[in-house]
Amino acid sequence: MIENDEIDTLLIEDDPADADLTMRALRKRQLINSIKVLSDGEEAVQFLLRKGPYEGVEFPSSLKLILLDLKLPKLNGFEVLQAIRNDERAKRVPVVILTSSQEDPDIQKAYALGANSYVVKPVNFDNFSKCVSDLGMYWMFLNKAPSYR
Amino acid sequence: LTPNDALPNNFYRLLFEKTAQGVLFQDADGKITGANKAADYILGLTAEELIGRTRAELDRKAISKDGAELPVDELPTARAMKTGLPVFNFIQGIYNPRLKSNIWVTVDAIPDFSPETGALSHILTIYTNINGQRIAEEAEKASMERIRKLLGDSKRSSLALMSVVEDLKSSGKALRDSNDRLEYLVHALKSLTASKTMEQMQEAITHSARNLVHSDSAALVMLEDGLCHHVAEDSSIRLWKGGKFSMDECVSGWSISHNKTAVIRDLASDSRVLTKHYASTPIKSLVMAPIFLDRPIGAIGAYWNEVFEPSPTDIKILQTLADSAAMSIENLKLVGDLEDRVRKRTADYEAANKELESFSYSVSHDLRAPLRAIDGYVRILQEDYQEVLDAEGKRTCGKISEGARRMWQLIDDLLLFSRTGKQPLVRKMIDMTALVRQAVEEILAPIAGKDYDIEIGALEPTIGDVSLIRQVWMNLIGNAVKFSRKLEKPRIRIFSERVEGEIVYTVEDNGAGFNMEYADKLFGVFQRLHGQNEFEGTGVGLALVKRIIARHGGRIWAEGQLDQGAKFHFSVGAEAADD
Repeated sequence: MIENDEIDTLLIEDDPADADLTMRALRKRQLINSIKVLSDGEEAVQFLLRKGPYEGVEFPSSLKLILLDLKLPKLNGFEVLQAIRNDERAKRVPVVILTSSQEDPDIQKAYALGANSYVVKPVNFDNFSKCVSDLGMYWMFLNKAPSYR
Repeated sequence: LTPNDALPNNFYRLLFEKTAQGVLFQDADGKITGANKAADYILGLTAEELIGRTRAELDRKAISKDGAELPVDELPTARAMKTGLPVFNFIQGIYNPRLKSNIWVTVDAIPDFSPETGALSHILTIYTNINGQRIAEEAEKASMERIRKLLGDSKRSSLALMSVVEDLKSSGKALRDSNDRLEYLVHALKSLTASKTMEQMQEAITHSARNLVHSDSAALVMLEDGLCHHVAEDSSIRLWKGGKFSMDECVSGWSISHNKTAVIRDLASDSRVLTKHYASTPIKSLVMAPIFLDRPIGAIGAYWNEVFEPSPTDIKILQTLADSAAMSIENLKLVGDLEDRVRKRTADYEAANKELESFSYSVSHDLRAPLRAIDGYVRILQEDYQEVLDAEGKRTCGKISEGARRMWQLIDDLLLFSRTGKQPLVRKMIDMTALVRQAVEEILAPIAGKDYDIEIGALEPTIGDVSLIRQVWMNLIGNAVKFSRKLEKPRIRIFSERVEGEIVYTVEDNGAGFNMEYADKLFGVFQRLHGQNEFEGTGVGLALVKRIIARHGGRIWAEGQLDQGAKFHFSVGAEAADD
């Protein structure tokens, strides 16, 4: 079990292969300390809003980035995003949509709901790896994350 | 080129279907090969009954102006056939089995000859209905007959002369009156034909009926599910509009079921009338004409508020209106059905297109996601487990990667192939020589060092979609390079020539070639004439090329011989059959 304090990246992704390859690309270049993967929208909301199994557990104070897929079981990415943005504390966490969809309505909706960035998963493995590590580089080292007190 | 060339394609067909003149086509043997709706109306026989029958079978009971039966050989079509000369304006009576009476027509029969052999190929026979005119003429003739008879009887001659003068006066007035009515009838029929909706049509029918017979009101009844539905009326007071009556309780029902015109001088004393329906109306007299085509459709009623004796002309006119209404209603229904079908087709097509788009989208993403995983995991094996894998393990990884890459390429090609069929063409003048030079450069760049002898002739320019024509060259030249790469001296020639006014472009190589037996398989999707081990490929390239050429209105074909090289020829086409 990962200590909440250490988690700096939250990956919300239901495709285990994509989750696997994303984590590998981030770890390979030692861009992150600790990543937590959640594979459905409901659990993601419970985790971020400290509900259900996470009730009473302290909010991960070192969280710097949420990578959020749109196609998720139970609650989809938009619903997760909306829940996060409506929460006093969680609304500050930078959210990057990482998805296969390049449909304009999806892009519009994501930004309208308060996404910080929208990235289409490159289809080719090399590009995908590079894309993920670039994201890690930016959000872990260049971007200044908020605090959650 | 004549000014008429601007007419829409279906103009002549429409004219044939819609004209009030009956038109028959007959072949050189007199067999009827075509008949329009008006012919159906005039001859009293449907197109199904007419087509396939001969002139002799049809020309029964034809009578001349003076009532004598006409021999078949005297008739215009027979004469035109025999002499090869057209006959115009021949007046005759034709027995109409549907009306069970003669219809007076003028007949034009025009022979047509084959431009090649000069032999008689068709006879066009045109019937113009002159029934109204004949009725007036007959009335006049009857008066003259009476004059002659009466003058023979000297005692009563002065009285007779006076009566004749009166007759002539009234028949002159009748003629003028009937002229006016004929004019109005023509106007009424036009308004029926011009009606775009059923409501307009119904209004035109009732309005025309009332004005043609000078009745106090008129109504249109349509037969719907065995009931007489009063769909429209032209009246100063409300009659039965919207009402539905069973067939046996109203005059319209009687008229429809008997296919006969009901003339009721006095409502109060006619057994066909249920007086209760008229109790609340001022109506005293009526005429009800059935609307009938190949089945009962409805009826037109004209009503008078005084007891009134409708004249034979009144009745005839109402019947004529009903017959025209039958055709117009049928036409409108057909057009409506057609429009509905077109609308549905368009919607289906749009839905299919949308589906195809979302399918393409899901192909490009959902289908590729597992490929990314396959390729990704193999790469992890290759990068992180170098030391653990033996030679066979590494070879296996390479094969998995290669398979994934081929699948990737296949998806790319298929998407390109499906997109090529959809996007609109943008036609511009294309400098083919420059385009080919670019393509060759691009194709050779990744295989630098290999010594290809490529000869590019001065290529004729063309008009087409640059990006698509570029794709054609990329694929054809790419193939030539691919299939000749195993040779010591691969040689490729690209040239164009004019063959019988057509510009033909050719890509020729001295490579692997193909067996002409399989030439028809070259352009099919996924069709390949070489194994993956020999020459890699997805089998989409030439199918794509063929689709692009076809969309431009051009053609493509190939010549080849195994191990002796291949030649691909194509033309782009002038103004394409596309879009």
